[in-house]
Amino acid sequence: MRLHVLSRYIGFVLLLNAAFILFSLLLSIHYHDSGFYPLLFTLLLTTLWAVFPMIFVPKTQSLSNKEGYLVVVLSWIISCFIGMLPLLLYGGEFTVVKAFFESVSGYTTTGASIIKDVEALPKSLLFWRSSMHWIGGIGIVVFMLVILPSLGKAQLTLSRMEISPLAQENFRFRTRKMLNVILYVYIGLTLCDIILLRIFGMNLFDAVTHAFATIATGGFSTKNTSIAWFNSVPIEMVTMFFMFVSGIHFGLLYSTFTFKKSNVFRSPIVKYYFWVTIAGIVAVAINLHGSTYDTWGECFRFASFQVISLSTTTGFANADSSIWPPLSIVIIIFFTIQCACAGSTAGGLKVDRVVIFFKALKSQVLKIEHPQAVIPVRVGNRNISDEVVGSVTLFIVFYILILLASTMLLAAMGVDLLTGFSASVTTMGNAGPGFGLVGSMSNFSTIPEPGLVVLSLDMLLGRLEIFGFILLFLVRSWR
Amino acid sequence: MSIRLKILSGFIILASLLIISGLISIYELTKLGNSVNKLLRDNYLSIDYARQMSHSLEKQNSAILLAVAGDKGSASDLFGVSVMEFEEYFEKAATNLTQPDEKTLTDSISLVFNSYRQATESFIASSNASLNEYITTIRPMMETIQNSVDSLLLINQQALTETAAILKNSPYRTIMPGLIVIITSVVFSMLFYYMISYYFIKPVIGITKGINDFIKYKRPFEVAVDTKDEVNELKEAVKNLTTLKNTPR
Repeated sequence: MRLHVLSRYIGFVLLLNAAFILFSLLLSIHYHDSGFYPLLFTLLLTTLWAVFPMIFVPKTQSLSNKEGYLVVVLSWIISCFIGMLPLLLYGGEFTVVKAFFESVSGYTTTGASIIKDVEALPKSLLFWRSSMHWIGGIGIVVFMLVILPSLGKAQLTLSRMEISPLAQENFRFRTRKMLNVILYVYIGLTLCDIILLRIFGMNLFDAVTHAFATIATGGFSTKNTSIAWFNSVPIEMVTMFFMFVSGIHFGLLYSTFTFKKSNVFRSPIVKYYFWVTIAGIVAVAINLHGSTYDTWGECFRFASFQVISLSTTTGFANADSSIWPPLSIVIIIFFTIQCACAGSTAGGLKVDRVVIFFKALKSQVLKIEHPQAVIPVRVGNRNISDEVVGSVTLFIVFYILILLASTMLLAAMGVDLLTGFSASVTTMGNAGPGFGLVGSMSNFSTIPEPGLVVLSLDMLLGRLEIFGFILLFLVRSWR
Repeated sequence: MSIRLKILSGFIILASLLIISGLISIYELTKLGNSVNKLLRDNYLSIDYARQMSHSLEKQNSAILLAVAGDKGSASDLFGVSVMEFEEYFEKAATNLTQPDEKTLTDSISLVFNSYRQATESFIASSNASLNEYITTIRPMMETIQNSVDSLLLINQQALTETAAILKNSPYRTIMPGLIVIITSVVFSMLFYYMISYYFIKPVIGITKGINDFIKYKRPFEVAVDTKDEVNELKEAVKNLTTLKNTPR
């Protein structure tokens, strides 16, 4: 393991973070707010740390798979530590653990917050929170790969490690082109969202921060009551549309925009994602009618927003879904576990895995019926190899085991079952709000600090798709 | 980049970390000291003004009772002096606002006090100043002013308590940059040591071993050096020397 080479690549990631800290700092100067010194300190520290390995370590164009994995995992972890510094130095509600939780929540695009009064934070720090979402949404390392043109073979290794293996199936481009496609779609969607939010009455600051959080499927808002604060149906519609679109594979979105054959309308995964979301909205709306809201308009308005928000792992809220009937809560928890498509900014289990899992289940049942038959697992026109089916099943089992372990740990700390389970589900899925004490209109400040550490690990495990994160702790991988 | 420059850069970064943290800690400490000092002083003064106003009100009450008892001269003198005293402290309190609610309270005192003053002056001057009139007209106005003065006193006392709480929590913010830099400097020093060890010490050991192997076993001098600095130049020079040594004369 060439630690010095890793430090050079992580240095690039730190420089990227430093650029966004600089934007926040300029904003602090513009608004004359109290975020200036925390941001200045973090900027200087990050830049010095980023530059140091570049002085010593010469350009290295090749990376082994192990090194690639470690660059990706360490980049995420170190970014989370850097991200917590402005918050920690600002003080207020932030202790070391709480600032780390907020930072991990930002980078992993979870959107779970410990802040009781978000509106009291200086604007520069609110922008920094949203920036963490935006950097994390696309994937810290992907961002670096697109910006740095001459990484040679390392580019291929790092992109393979950063992008989910399932997502790579739908990218029919060479590495460089694939990275560009991701960035074009990401920036394009963000700009469109900002423009539409401005048109429908948001001020520029709120439009930019909310667009960052929407496209990254993050969920940090600049308001205590999230999107509900604006009480505007057009803003909710725009946000819903962009949340949903951001949950679709970026390669498919690019193909659709460029009128290619393999587009979102032909993808069986997107079809499933669309119809299951519609079914969820209808079921929740019917369940809410009469019990929580009187008119069908209200039922569909709140049901559609909450279902899309949580299924895409964004976590914005226009209503307090924690007081909804149990059936609605169960449906939303299902969506928080399933989440959106691979290749998008969404976290969690991912629709692709759920589809493959159910297809494999069907194939298994058919095999019992016809023991001699060869029944491949097919998604659309594509045969799924046994290796992929095996890894998907293993991932799902591991995912559920981690959820159970996390819930048990929280329960041992005195957190009630609904709060503990939904907090685990929502952090593993990088969704944001849960139920009980961590509902849509509440926050995670009531969770004890050791519990926040557990949930921070959940967020990182969810974002790095479990195996990458585990690799970091295997001594074997450091040799 | 030369070795000298690389090592110098490392030390400059380390020094910068310490200087930045020191400067920010000094700034935070000074800012904290100034703001706490100002808050404490202003709150203390507001409390003192409110106490003096309350004291003046008691004197005015005595003056009114003197008037009821029939001693108009002493009543008028005492009232005049205590009103001047009240107004002096009220002026000071009104220009030393430290809490958001203080403005509302001073406005309310100012409004009621003018009516109270006029009513009391004519009460003292009137020939038939009765206890009943004092209870029904003058006393309620006085109580309103007294309540507002008490509230003024209370919110400033509360602010003092809050300032004490800030004092308790604020060193955290002052200490934090230093703490962060200590941790990062330790990690940085380890990384710096690793870099020096990997890029300078290890190649020098390699070159020494290469030379010894060449002298003892006549092994060809093959040493890998990643960097393009003086160590690489040294390696090249030694390689040239060994090549020259191997070349038959």
